[in-house]
Amino acid sequence: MRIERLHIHGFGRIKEQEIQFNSPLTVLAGPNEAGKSTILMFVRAMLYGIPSRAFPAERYEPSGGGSHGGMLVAEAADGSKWTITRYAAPERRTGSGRSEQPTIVKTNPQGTAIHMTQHDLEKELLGGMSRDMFNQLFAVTLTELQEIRTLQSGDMGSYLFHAGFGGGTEIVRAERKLVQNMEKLYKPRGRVQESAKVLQRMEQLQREISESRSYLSKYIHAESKLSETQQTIADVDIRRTDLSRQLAVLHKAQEIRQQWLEWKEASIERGGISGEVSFPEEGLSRLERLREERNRIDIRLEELERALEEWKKQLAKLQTDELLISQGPVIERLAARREMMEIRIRELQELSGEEAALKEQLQRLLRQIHPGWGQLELRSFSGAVSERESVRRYAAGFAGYDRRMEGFALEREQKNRQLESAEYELERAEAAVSERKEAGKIRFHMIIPQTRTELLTAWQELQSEAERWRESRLSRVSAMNYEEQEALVSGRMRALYRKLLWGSAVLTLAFPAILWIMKSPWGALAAFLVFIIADVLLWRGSEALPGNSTSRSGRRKNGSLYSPETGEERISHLMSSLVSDPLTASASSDGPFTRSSSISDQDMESSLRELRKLVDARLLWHEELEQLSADADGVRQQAELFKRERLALIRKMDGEQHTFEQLDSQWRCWLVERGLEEGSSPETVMDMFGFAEQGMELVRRLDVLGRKWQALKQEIDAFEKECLTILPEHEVLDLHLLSHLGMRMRSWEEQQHLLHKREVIGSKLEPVQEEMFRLEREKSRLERVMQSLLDEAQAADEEEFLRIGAVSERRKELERMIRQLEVNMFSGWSGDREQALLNVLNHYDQAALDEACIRAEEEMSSAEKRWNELQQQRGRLLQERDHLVRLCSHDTALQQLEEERAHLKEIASEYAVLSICAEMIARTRGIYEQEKQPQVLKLASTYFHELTRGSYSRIVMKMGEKRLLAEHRDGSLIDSSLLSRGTAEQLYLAMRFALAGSMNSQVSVPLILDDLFVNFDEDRMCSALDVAGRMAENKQIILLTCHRYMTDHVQRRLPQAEIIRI
Amino acid sequence: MVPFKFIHTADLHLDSQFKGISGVSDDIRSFLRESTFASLDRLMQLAVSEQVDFIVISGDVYDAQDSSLQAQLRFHEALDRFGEHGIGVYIIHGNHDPLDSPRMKTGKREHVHVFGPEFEQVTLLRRKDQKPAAVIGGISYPTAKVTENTSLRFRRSREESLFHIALLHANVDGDPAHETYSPCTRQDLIHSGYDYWALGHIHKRQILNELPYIVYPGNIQGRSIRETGAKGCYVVQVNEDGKADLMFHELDTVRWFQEEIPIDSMEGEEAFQVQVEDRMQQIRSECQGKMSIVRFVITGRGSLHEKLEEGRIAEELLHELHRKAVRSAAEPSGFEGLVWVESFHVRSGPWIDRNALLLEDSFLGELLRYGQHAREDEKSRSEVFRKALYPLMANRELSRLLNEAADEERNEWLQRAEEMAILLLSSHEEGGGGKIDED
Repeated sequence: MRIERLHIHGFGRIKEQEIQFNSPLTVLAGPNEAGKSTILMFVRAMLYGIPSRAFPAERYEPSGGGSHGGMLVAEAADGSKWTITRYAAPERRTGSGRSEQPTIVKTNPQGTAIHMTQHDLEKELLGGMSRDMFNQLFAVTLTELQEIRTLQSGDMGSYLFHAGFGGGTEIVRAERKLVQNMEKLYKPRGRVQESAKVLQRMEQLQREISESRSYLSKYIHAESKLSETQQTIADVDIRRTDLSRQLAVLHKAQEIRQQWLEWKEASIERGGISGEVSFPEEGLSRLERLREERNRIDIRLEELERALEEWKKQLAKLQTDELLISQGPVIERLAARREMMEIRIRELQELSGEEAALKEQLQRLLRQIHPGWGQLELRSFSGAVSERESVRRYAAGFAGYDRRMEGFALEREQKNRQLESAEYELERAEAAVSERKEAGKIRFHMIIPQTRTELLTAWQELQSEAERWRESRLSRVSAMNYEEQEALVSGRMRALYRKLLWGSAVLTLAFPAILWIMKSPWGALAAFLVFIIADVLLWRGSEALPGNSTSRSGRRKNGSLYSPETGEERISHLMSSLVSDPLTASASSDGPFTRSSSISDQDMESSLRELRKLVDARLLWHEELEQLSADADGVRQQAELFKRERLALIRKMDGEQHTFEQLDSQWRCWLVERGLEEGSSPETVMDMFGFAEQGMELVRRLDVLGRKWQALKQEIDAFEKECLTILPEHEVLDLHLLSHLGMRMRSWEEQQHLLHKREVIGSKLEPVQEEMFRLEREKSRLERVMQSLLDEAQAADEEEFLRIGAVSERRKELERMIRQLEVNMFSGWSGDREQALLNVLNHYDQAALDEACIRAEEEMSSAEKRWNELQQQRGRLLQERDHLVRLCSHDTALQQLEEERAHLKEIASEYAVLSICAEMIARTRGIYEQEKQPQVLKLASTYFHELTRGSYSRIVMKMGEKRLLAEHRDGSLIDSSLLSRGTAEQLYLAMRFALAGSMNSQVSVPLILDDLFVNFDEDRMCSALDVAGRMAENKQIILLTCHRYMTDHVQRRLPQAEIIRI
Repeated sequence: MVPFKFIHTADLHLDSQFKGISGVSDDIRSFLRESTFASLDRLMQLAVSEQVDFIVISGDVYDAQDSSLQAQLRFHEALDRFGEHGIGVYIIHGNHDPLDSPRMKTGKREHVHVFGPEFEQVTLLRRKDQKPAAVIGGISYPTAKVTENTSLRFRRSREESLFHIALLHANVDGDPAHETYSPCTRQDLIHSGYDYWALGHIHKRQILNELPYIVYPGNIQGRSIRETGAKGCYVVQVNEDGKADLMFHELDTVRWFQEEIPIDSMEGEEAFQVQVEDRMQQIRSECQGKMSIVRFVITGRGSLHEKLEEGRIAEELLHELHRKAVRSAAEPSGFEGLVWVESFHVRSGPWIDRNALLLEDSFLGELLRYGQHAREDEKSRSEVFRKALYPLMANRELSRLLNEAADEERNEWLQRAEEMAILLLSSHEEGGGGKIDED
């Protein structure tokens, strides 16, 4: 490429400057601060972008503000033109976004312009050179030249040395990428890499596994422990049984020791009793029993004797009354009847009471019937049915008479009432007729015709006359209406004319006045005249109207001259014929009927109307009057009829009275016959019948009572007589007979009781004597038995018998005791155990035994405890074993570990591949460096040789150390850092020239050297210029300098160079 | 001689882990864990249904280093059940379950005979009539590492006419894939005079010799990609003439497969996916009712390689397949026909003529030449590996893992590294100007 033109709009201090490069070698000369370095930086910025604000030193912002940037035009090797325009964004934008927007346009030789990107620019125009490399190799300032490390950076190295293969960047990128990928996979001590996570998981799993690995050993351990425990349990079990047996023996011994002692003692005592004694079985008890029996009998005998005595004494005490005993049955019988007798006496008293009552009642009844009546009359009064019947007949006769008389009296009463009402009616009807007549006379007194017919004819006449009068009146009224309408119209017209006249009058004055002002007096005058005329006309018009109306009204008056007067007169005449005093008539009637004159039509009409009403009323009154008189006649006839009927009734009643008197006389005879009171009515007689019957009843009952009383009296007397026989004479008068009887009865009962007691005692005595006899016999039998018993035991007496008996008893007891103790002690204990027990008992005393027992118990409990512990242990072990089995069945940690391992292996192999790849690239690069380096160095050596004018022959690079050495002419090697400043710079320049030359196979990038030769001596500078001139043949070179001698030299040595002064 | 029937099995490796798989769900993990036991159950069922007289187990019943209690419990349970059916069991211990390893002590079982660390012989009575049928000699590993040739201790007594069976856990003729314990040669065994060498230790089923029979039945359940194919035991019928007739029976619960997928002519991802799913379907139909684990090895050179390396399509597909498998495993009887993809092993390369590159005088050419050199030259290769794996070695776990890696695997890494380098360095077009490093 070749830079053709720079257009700096604003960069550092430079503003709006354009620089054209026409020659391959250009020298930009200017004093300090002229902007040479700024131009260098501008080129860098144009090609690679304006540095960000983070690098203000390289950014070169315009000092006075304004646009920051410019344009660069370059020509590529293929002839296309690149125009690069860049401007830094005026203000900082947020974020890391680029602060500039370049415009890169590539124009083909054919002329087509294409927009390109920065990437394209770097790739095509700059041959893929990086910014750093451009800065370090092609656009070099003095400072950069002196930086030795710039040559030794990895990038640079690979770029330089591998120029043959795609420019070397790919290798760098590949290496970088590999390293990136590797770091993603694994990094020693890294934490975020996948491998680290896997490793962490593995560690976790391994921990788990070390746990699960122990399951087997734990299980085995548990298993062995278990069997061991089981063995121990068996051992302990045996020991436990032994101990428990031993303990049982000891306990037993302890328990029976007391018994054993007794047993031992009894055995010894038993041994002491010698020989056999014949002693009757149960001898002692038998003797005892016999003795007891004997004693008992003795006691009993004594008791009985005492009792016998007692009884006898008592018997002697009880004495009896013989008389009483003989009377006994009689008393008893009487006593038995006594109750009854008492009742009889009471009955007798009641009967006499009842009789008195009955007699009194009878007396009353008799008084009721007739004061003179006694029992005799009563008995003679027969209440026969026939008598009753005749009384009833009389009674019916009287009753029939009463009934009939009553009926007639009622009827008569009714007739009287009817008659009265009929008379009253008649009176009223007559009164009404006369009243009506009177009213009619007052009301219609003014009407002249008295009869109906007269009135009617007069009325009809009047009506026909009134008709005629009406017709004539109608025609008159229509004519009057017409006149009234005309008068109305003319009134309106006149009002209109008046208004117009006012309007025109105003105009007449105003209009000419206006015209006058308008300076046309003639016109005004003319107009005035015209208006005046109009006014006059109007005035006339308005005046004409009232004149018309007056003329017409006059005509109407004339046309109404018809003959109403005659008609009216006729009517009034007729009226007067009809009504005597019209004024009074009209006043008495409702409406105003003023027959003032013949003048008013309305009056005429109304009078006619009133008259019609009056006539109608008069006709109605006539009819009513007739009706009323007819009614009065009817009522009068009825009254007459009632009077006749009453008279007939009175005659009937007199007949009845006569028959009654006959019946009454017959009744009086009947009463006298019977001896009854004369005044008695048949009803009283009927009542007397009832009383007589009751009296008869009472008499009958009195008879019965009298008979009863008699019988009772007899019975009581007989009883009393009998009672007297049993009573002792001297007591008779003292008390009532019956209480005496009671006393006798009681003493008899006492006697009876006494007798009974004697009997009882006698019956008791007998068995006592009998028993005494029996006991005596028993006693003698016992004596015999006892003797035989003594004989049997060969005992002289009872005492001896007892002694022998006691000995024998003791022996038996001892034997029994021994047996019982043996059973108690050894029951359920087999022979050898019994022996062991006996041994223990024989060898231990109480204390020793207790001690042994406690010891054995302690041992036992410890064995028991041990056994329990072992059982628990066994349980624990079993549980642990089961737990382990359960755990292991769900344990997949090993498999998981294996999975993680597989994963890790994958990562590792991935890493291995990448790493091996990187390693191989590195190694190949090493080979490359060794093989390719000499070519660059060779070229650099020639340049160095030339620059130092033969002082140094060669540049040598030590591999591995990456150090540059200079070989002096004399063959000595000098490290670049030890060279003089100028020489070192020449060395680096030579290297740059060589590198730039060796890598320009594809594109030639311009070299811009910013005052690099300042430290060179004149000769060496000239040499450098020569080299530059040679290089300019195939590469654009721009030299920047501030030294005049330098431009001078250029002018002299390089005539083709273009010098631009700034 | 009386005819009889027995089962020869070895290397049960009960409750041992499945290696190389990751990302499984709990369901699948439990199933895998149960698989060795399921195979053991199947072995028992087979013994019952075949009415064998006895069964011999030639070592490695379980992995002692895992100290799995479950394994021991389940094995003892199984022994009890053999006993219930009257089937005798003859066991030797191998390098994984030597006699000195922690073992559960159990009561004496009449039908079980465990050989001790010294050679011993037992005469076996036939089950149905208690006639002597065979002589079984065996020797257990007293410790894990037995380097002595114990086969030499097997000597047949000349006068005994019964069928002789030898139980030995050994690496015959030094198979390099397995630890060389009890090293012996085929000749040693043939000369011993035994009629049937019931061997254990090598997990690959093989019959080394027919007269006498020298047999490795292999293990009963494959547990890593190194143990692909059907796994099971031999049912041996010995007839009156003393002739043995071997019949293999599958016992495995989960089967391993390794499938190669060449990408040479493959164009897009879809084709790759279809290919993978076709293979899976094939496997599914091949072992129905079983779970299978497959490793896909991607080989060949093609444009797909770049996508596999860069676009990680294999990884995504793997995740997808795993997800599917986990889902279907959660369903009832979801393990029947379940295919679990262990991994995709990328051994393919980009579509570049490697041989041409090897001759080219370029950076890549140089690199490949160096790789070639390293593969041949042990020293420079180990140097490369040492340098490359140095950071990993700092970690104990990783260093162990890497040390375990076989040469084959290392070569694979090298190969892949080369392919990666080609991929990274050959894409000229992609390269270009660097970015603006302003900050």
